Amino acid sequence: MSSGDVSPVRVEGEPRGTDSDGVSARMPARAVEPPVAYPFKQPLTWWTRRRGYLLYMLREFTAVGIAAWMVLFLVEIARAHGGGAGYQPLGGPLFIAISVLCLGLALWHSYTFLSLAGMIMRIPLGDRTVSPRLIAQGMFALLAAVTALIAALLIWGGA
Amino acid sequence: MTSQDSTGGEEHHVPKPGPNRVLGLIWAGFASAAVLGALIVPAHILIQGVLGPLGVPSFDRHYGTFARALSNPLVKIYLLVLFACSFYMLAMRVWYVVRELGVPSKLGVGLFSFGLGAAGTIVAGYLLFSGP
Amino acid sequence: MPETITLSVTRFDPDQDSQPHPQSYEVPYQDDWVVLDALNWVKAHVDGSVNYRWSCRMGICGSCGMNVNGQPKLGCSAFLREYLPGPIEVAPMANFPIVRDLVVDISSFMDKLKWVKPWIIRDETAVGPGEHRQTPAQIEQYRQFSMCINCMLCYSACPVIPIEPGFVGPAAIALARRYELDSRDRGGQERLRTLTGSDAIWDCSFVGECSAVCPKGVDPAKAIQQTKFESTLGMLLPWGGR
Repeated sequence: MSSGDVSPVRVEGEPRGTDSDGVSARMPARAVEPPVAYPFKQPLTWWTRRRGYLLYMLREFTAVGIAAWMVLFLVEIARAHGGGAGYQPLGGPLFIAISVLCLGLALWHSYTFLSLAGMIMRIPLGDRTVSPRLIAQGMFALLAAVTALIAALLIWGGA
Repeated sequence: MTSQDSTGGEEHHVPKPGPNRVLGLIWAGFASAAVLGALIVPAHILIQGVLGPLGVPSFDRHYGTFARALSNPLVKIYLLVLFACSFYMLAMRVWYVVRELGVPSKLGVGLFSFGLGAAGTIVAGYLLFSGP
Repeated sequence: MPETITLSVTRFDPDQDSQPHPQSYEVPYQDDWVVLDALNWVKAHVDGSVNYRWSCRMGICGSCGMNVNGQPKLGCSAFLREYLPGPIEVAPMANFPIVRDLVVDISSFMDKLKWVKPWIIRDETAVGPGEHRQTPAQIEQYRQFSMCINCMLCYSACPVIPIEPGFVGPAAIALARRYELDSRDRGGQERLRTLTGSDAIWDCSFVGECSAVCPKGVDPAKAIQQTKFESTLGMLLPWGGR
């Protein structure tokens, strides 16, 4: 392109045509290289900053409580391998206290997960969907029934 | 297709299309284990952990009833499911939380979390199926 | 009622600063003012060099996302009276690189929106006569997920984004769900491929804070979990899913 060309396309270094007031402008087609943005750094304490994050950590921690109690149950099974003479079931106030804590964590897991099951399942009913509250309530009823059944079997097995 | 952001920062990659059946199965396994665990775990902790030591005749209170139950193959399978659910939940949650707390190594955290889960399940399997 | 309140605003000039730093401004306190009003006052009367995005000032454009006292909020919805006696920390949204002051780089988000193909996908190549009919009940199925204003507060609240920057994220997946549930759309399989691949639904650990901070009640966490559930049903059941 020659100087004075009135083509609307401008490439780098090419002069613009003069404006009506006689002023010409010379501008590169590409802007200067922009500076790099400041990267975000996640603070280690991010999870303490919102109630929702703390509740999330608690919900995830329930898995540790449940697994820990299961390890104690495995200890009992290992003890049973040693024969009847020396067998001693786990007991005592410390074990009961730990179990109460783990039971609380397990029930929190059950409560959060079974309520979420209601939300995660989209069951169409014509043009509507089944209410998530209804699904959650059904799940809680199922929890009560299954707990009663297992409890009955565990106690019947101990008779 | 990649794009450069306006501030000259790193390129944004395009995700690999799925379906990623491995990740899907891993998640489905976790969701099932979590729901099943939510239903069956509390009863065991309540009876065996709290009421049993307080006097209720739970099956693990005496060697005779405990050994008899543990020798039943249906009981073995059920208990393996109970342990597997619990340790699988542990593995998945440790995987997510440890990484979210800032540990960068995907391989390291993966080996640790799923290693823990696998170890627990293998020990449970051994104790249940090699017993008297 | 106090006469003034202090704003501590994050400043960052890439030409001069090595890192962001706070700068305090004493602004007049008005009971009906929001943080955006206070910033506009600062820019008009005290320091014209403060940079921030804003437009509608009524919670519909999604431009003014920022961190107010450590929480993701729209600047136009954060009333000064909620933060008395102050000072109020005003910072750029978390999880995004900072371009200048309160302005963050949102180009990654723009790409992620496009990846989920947020438009009606149908088989026909030509537009035929007549409209696509849709009952109010059918619209209700996806209405919630259509309310997104692209404010990115959900990305700011998501703890997965810092560890997986490529995660396509809550708003994008909620948008995909909006089209998935639209009775006029036939693109389910195409979109599902993007959503069930890398950097998508499987990265989500269901913290749920995306839904908690959403100013429009979109509930992206629900969209993501429902997509996980339905896509695995589709994978596992021979007749199931789309």
